[in-house]
Amino acid sequence: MTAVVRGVCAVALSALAGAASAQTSLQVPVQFDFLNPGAKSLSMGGAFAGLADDATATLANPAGLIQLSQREISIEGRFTALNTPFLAGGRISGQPFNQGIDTVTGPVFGTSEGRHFGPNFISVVVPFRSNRWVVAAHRHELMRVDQEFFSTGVFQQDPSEFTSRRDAPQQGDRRLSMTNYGASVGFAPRQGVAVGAGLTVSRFSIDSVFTRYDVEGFLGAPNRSREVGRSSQTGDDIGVAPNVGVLVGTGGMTRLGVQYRHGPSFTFTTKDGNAPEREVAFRAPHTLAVGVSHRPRASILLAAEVTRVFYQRLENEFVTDQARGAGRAADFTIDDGTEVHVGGQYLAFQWRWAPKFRLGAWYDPNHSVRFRPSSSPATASDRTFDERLTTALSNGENRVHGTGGVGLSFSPRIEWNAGVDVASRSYILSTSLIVRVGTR
Amino acid sequence: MTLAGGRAAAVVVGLVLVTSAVVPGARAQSPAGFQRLWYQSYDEGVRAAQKGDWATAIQTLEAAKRSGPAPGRRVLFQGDRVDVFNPDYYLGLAYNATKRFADAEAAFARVTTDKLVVAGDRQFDELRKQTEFARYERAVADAERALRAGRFTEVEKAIAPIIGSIADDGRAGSLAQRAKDAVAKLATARVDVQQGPPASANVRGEQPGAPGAPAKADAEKVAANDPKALPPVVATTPAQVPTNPLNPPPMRPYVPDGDKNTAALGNPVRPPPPDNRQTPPLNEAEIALRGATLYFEGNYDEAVRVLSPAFAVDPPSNIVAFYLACSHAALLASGRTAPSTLDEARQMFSYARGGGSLQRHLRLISPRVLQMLGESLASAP
Repeated sequence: MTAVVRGVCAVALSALAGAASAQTSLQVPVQFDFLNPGAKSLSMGGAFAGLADDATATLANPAGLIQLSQREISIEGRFTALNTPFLAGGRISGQPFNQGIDTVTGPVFGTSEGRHFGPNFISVVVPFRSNRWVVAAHRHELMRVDQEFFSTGVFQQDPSEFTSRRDAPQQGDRRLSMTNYGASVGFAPRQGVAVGAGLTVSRFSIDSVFTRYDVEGFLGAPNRSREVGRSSQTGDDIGVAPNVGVLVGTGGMTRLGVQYRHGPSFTFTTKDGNAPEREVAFRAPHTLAVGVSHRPRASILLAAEVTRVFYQRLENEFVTDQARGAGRAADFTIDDGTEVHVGGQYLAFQWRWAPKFRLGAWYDPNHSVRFRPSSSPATASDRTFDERLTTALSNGENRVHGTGGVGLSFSPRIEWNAGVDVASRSYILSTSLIVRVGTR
Repeated sequence: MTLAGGRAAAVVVGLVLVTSAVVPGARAQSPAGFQRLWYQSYDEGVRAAQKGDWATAIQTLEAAKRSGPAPGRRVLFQGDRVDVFNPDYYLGLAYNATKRFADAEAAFARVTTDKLVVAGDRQFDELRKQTEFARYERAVADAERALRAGRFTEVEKAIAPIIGSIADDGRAGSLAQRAKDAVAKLATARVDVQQGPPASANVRGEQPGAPGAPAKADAEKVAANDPKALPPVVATTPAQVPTNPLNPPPMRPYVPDGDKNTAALGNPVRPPPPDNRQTPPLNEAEIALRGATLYFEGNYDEAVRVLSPAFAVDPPSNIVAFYLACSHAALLASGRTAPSTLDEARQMFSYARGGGSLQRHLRLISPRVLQMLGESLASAP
C-alpha cells in the first residue's frame, strides 16, 4: 500500500513541478522599505519631510536644502538585517506519514537572513552665496535585498483525494539592488518658503535564480543533484525619476513639508524553464510625504510625517509575471501603504559635544505580496495551490518600528550621528558623519 | 564601478553642472525683498570678513545681529549645528578695517564682556590685538580732533591711556609733541598779538574808504558773526587784483570743495549760513590768535574763513595779513585751492612784512610756505 501511495504521490509531484516553478519566487515574500537616508532621520522614526535640515534633504525633501548655509559633505554607513520567513517544509494538510521527512504536522517556516552593510548615503551640498539657491549631489543605496532560502517542499492533502501532494524542493537566491545617483536644487522664492526639485538616476540590478529539485522518493530528502525546473530574473537597468518638495516656515519654529518622489521604472529579463525569455518591468513605488516639525525650544524638536507609498506599482509585471506560469496572476496583490512616523530630539546644549538624544517610532503597514484567490477553487490542484500560497504568504504583517539614536557635535565642523531601528523581524544600525567646509 | 553605474554617475555630474550653469543669478547677491535667515547672514558675514570684503561683512553681520538670537558660544544655528555666534568679533574686525574705531572698540568690549572669546580660544590673541588697535586708533582720533579744535589739554588726556600700548606706532607720542609745540607756538603768537598791530599810520591815511574795503563798523559786525554785515563778495581774477598791496580787495572766501570744481572758483560764493549760537564778538587780536591757532593746527580752510573778514578791516592787522597769507599758501601747497590765489597771498604777505617785525612768527612757519610767499629763505630767521 505504501508503495502504491508513493507512486501516486510521485506522479502528483512530477505533474506539479513544472507549473510550480513559475510562482516559486512568490512563495518567499519579497519586502523592502524605502527609508530616508541618514542616521538622524532613522533615529527620529524617519519623520523628516517637515524637517529636512541636513544633507539628506536632497532625497527626503529637497526644499529643505535651502536651510543649509555651508558646504557639507555627508556619509552614512548602514547595516541592515532583515529576517524574512518563508515556507520551508512540513505538512499543511493531511496526516504525516512519519516517514522520510514527512514527520511534521503543520507548516515549517524557515528564515532567510538578509544582511547588508555599506555606504548607504554620500552627499555633497553647495549653497550659493545668495542663499536663495542650494545644490546637492548624492549617492544612495535605496534598496538591498539579499535572500537565500531552501524549501524541502511541503506536503498537502486535499480532502477529495486519498493521496498526498508534495511541493517540489526549491532553492532560491534573490538579489535586488537599487542605487541612486541624484542631484537636486533648493530655492527660496520668498521669505520662509522653499521649494526643491531633484533628478535621480537609479541603477537597478536583479539577479535571482529559483531552482526546483527532485526528491529521493516521495517522502524522502531533496536530491539537489537533479534539477527539475529553473527560473531566473536578471537585469541591469537605469531609470530616471524626479522628486519635488515644498517646505513652509523655514527659519521659524514650525515647518510644514510636502515631498513627492517618483519611482523609476526598469526592465529585466525573466526566463522560466524552456519558455522564451520575457522583458518584465520593475516599477519602484512612488512616495508622497507630508510632514511637520516643531521646535518649541531650541533644545526640543518634534517631528511627524505621514507617507503614502504606492507599492501597488510593483504588482503589475514584477509580481504578476511571477504568477503567470500558474495562471493565477490576478490573485497576487500588494497594497499601497500609509506609514506614520513620529520622532523627537533633545539637545543638551551645555554638555560637551552638545549631544542630541533622539527617539522615534513608525508604523509600517503590511506591504508584502498577498495572495487573495479571486474565485473558489474548483479542483484539488487549485485548492492545494491556494492553501500553499495562503500559508506561504501569511506572515506579512503591520509592524511598529522603534527607533533611537544620538548625535554629537565634536566641533562646528564635524558632527557624528548614530541611530538604530528595531522591528520584530529587522533591525538597522546607522552611523553618519557630516563635515562642514568653510566653518570658522 | 560597473559601466551602468559609471553612466549613472556621469549623468548626475552633468546634471549638477547644467544646474549650476542655468540657475540665474545663483552667485549674485540676494535681491531686494529677500532676506537671509540670521545664520545665513552670519555665515556670509564671516566669509566676507575672512576675504576682507568689509562692506559686505558689516552689512550682513549687523543683519544677523538684528534678526538672530543673543550671541553665545553654543547657539543652535540650524539642524543640529551648534556653533559660536559671535558677530561682534567679526564686526569689530570690519569696523577696525574701515576706521570705525569707536564702534570696533565697543564691539570687542561686548565680545569680552559676554565671554565669547576666552583665553585658550584660537581667536583670543587676535581679539586682544584688535581690541588694543581699536582703542589706540580711537584715542589717536580723539586726540587729533582735540588738537584740531585747539583743546590741547584734551590731547594729553586722550592719549594717556594708550601710551605704551602694544599698538603704539609712535603716533601718540607725536601727537603729544604736536600739542606741546602748538601750545608753545600759540604762546608766542599770543604775545605778539597782544603787543598790537604794527605802526602803520601812513597806511591808514593813504587808502581811506578804498573800494571793496568794508567800514570799521562792518568789520565789527563781521566779528560778531553777522552775515548781513559782510561786504558783497566780488569775483576776482589776478588781473583785477590791485597792484597796491596796501589796498587789497577782499579775498574770495575759501570754498572747501571748490578745488574739486575749478569752474566754481571764479564765481561769487555766498558766505556760510549764519551760526545762530550766541557767541561774543571777537576783537582783532582774538581773531588773529584764533586764525594763528587754526593755522598751526593745520586747519587752513578755517583759518582763511576766520581771518578773511578781519583782513577787510581798514587797516588790517599785519598779523592777520601774515597768517592769512600763510594759510592761503598752505592751502595751495596742499593742492586745495587755485594757483591764482598765490598772487593775492604774496601781496598780503608783503603787506604784513611791511608792517613790522615778524621774526618770531617767521620762525614758526614752514620754509616751503615762506618760499611760496616770496620770502627769501636766506633772510628768513
